[in-house]
Amino acid sequence: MLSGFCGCKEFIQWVKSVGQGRVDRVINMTKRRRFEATLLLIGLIVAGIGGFAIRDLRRATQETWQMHSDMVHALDLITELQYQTQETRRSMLYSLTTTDPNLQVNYAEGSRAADKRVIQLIAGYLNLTPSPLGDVAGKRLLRDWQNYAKTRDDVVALILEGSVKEAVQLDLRAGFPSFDRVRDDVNGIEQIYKRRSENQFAEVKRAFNRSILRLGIILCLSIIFAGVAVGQLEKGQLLEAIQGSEARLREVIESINEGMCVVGRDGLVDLWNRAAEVSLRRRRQDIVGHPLMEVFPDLQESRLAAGITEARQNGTTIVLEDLQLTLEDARHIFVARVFPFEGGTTIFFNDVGERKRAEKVQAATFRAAEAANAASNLEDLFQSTHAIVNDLMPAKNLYVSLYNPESETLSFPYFIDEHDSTPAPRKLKGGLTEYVLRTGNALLAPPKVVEELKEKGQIEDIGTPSVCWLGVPLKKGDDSVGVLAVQSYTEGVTFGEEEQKILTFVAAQIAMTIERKRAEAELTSALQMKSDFVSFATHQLRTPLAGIKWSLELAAQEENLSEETASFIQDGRDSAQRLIGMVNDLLDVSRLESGKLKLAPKETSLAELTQGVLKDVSHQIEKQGHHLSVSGMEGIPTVLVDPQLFRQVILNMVSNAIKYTPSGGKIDINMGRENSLVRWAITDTGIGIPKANQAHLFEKFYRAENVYKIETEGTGLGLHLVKMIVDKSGGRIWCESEENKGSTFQFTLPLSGGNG
Amino acid sequence: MSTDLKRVLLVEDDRFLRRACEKSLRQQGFNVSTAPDGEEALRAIRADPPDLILLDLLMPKVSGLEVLKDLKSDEKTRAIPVIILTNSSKETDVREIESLGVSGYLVKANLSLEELGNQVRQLLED
Repeated sequence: MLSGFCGCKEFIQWVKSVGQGRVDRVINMTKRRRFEATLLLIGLIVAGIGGFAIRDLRRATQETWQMHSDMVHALDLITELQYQTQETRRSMLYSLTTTDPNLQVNYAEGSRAADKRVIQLIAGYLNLTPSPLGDVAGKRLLRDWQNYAKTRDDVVALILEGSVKEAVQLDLRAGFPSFDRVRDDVNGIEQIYKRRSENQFAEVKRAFNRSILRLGIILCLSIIFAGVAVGQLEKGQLLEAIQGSEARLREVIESINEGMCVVGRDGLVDLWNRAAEVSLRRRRQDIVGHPLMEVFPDLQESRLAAGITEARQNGTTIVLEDLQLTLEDARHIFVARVFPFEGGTTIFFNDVGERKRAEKVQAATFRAAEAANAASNLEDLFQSTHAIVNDLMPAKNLYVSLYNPESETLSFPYFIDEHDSTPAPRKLKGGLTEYVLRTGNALLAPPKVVEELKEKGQIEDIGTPSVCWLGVPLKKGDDSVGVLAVQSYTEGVTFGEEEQKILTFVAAQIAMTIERKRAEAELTSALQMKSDFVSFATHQLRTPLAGIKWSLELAAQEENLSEETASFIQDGRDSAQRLIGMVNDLLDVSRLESGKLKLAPKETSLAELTQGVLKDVSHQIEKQGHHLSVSGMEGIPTVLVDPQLFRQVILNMVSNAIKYTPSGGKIDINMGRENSLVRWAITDTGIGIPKANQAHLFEKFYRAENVYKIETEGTGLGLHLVKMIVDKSGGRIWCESEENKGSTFQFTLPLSGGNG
Repeated sequence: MSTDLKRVLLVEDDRFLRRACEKSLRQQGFNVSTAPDGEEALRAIRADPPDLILLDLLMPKVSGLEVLKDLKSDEKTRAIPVIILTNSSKETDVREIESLGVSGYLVKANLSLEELGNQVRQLLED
């Protein structure tokens, strides 16, 4: 794989220079590390030296201490010796000078005892290792003192014999020189100590000097070592980094999707990556080491040759768009980018033909989706889809076939064909269309496939046989509801997998749209039917209701009616009135909701409307024995509302108050101006509305739980309608109620402009 | 009945409504004649223009709207006040009717005969 890199050291050089940034980063990194390492080493050195110094100092201190304690012992001894010597001498002198024989003996014995003590003392010191007296001096002192003590024994013996004169003579002969000798010894020991003290000082001084020297050496060594170590580290990392970036670059070069070619100064191809092999259809071994222009004669005359020269001369990057190359009989369009470097030229080739096509496909599928959304009808959708598909493939001949499962027929709502005319709707036969419909799978059918299917008896010829036929099912869930097909009658014009993909996508869009349109149509017709029905029903209902109403009105005017007949007639009138009210509510709600009913606002007096309504319902109020009071009617400003509809509002509210208030209750209507609003309120002493129901009161078909105590009829439309009208008139309606105490319903409306 | 009673033409296809309405308006002191459809209404009006017309909209043969258009396009009949008396309230019709100019638009089911009489009287007194 790396053979392509043979003989391209210069390229690698170039790569190295490209990798300089990375190497610089590594150097910076190692610099940082060197600093850290130095710090660490200095720390170690300080710790090491500190350790040595502490050790030396401790040793010196220990030695000094030892010397000090030895000296103390020695001085003690010297003092003792001096004292004992004087004591012995004095005892000796006393024994020699007294005339009392008893005292003579006492002193002599005392002298001898003192001698023994001194000898023991010296021997004791000599047993110490090392002896504070020093070995030689100590031993001599012991020997001297032993001799001295022996002489004294002789002296004492002479004294005890009574020969004092001889004793004095012996003592004089032997005693004084011995004593002097002892004194000399003691002085000698003092000298030893003086010497030793000087030695010790010298030793400490040497130790100190040694430490300084050691410190110096260690410091120097450390610095050298650190330098070397960091140097090694840096070298290793740099090497590794450079090797790593080389390897990585090779990997990158091989993995990039762009064709990459390095041409040396000699014009021979040095490097040819894998993408170049693919996109330029030449294998590495066929081109590396050959002149590029020889391998691709097309390029000789192209702008690329000139581009390479120009790039090399100016040292600038050159981009060549639309570089055309014929590769294996197909024209390819490339974008070439030319980078000059010290050792030659690097060229990147990018086959944009593919990309351009992919972009086109993407844009077209997007357009297809848009067209599907925007299509106002299926005919439009088929036409725009055909145009889009035609941009992407030779789809002059395209048709859409839809299957109607109820009639089991196949129709062709869109059919564009060079040879055949639109087929009539047909029962399922053995065509390719039926085959796709049946299998639910796309079928790419060049003649060979068609022949095979025919042999198997799967299909039969229908219409003019095509050179290539491609059909995809239109699917609704798992069911095929139709087929989208393209066909070609031109030799050499065929379809492939890509066309199948595109068509499948488009088919999905079409199927979705067909389904959506169907649902929309159903919904629209259902809504229309509902609306038509309500209008029709209300009109047809209102005419006979008006007949009943008017006839009973006339009947009620007849004279000489029995009381019972009159009351029957009145009951009939009330019932008719209620029925008319319900029909009106139903009609109004339906039309307000559908937006068909437009308000026709006029300057309207709520007082007049209220009076009119009260006249209509006066009989019901009377019958229920309610006490009615109306206040605030005088001087109430007009409002801009639809009088017909507001009559309905007031009627509904008054009717509710009458209906839901037990007989003999009180109904109070109050209206008036409040700032920029006109307020209208009706208060009753009725059954009220449970708290939990109040929030839903104005909802369509909602009825409070306790209304069934009063009556079971009622549509739950009245208050819904009232609220719709008030809301649409720019007003507000609300209710305050306490169950079993009564309710107040009130609405406010803005003052009309006419009131200034 | 005096001869100076105001003459009202009631155009109504529903015979029950026509009968009740005719009776009530007579009781309330009007000289009422009736027509069961638009065609007859136009003939009657041309033969002898009334003081006021009560006009239904949905009728066989010639609809109320066509009658109204006809009346408004004719100089002789243009000034006769017309009250539309209907149970339909198709918005398109309402708008067209209002643009042609009528003296009232009443929904039969929402109207008592007494009110109707009052409205008619009010119009004729003006």
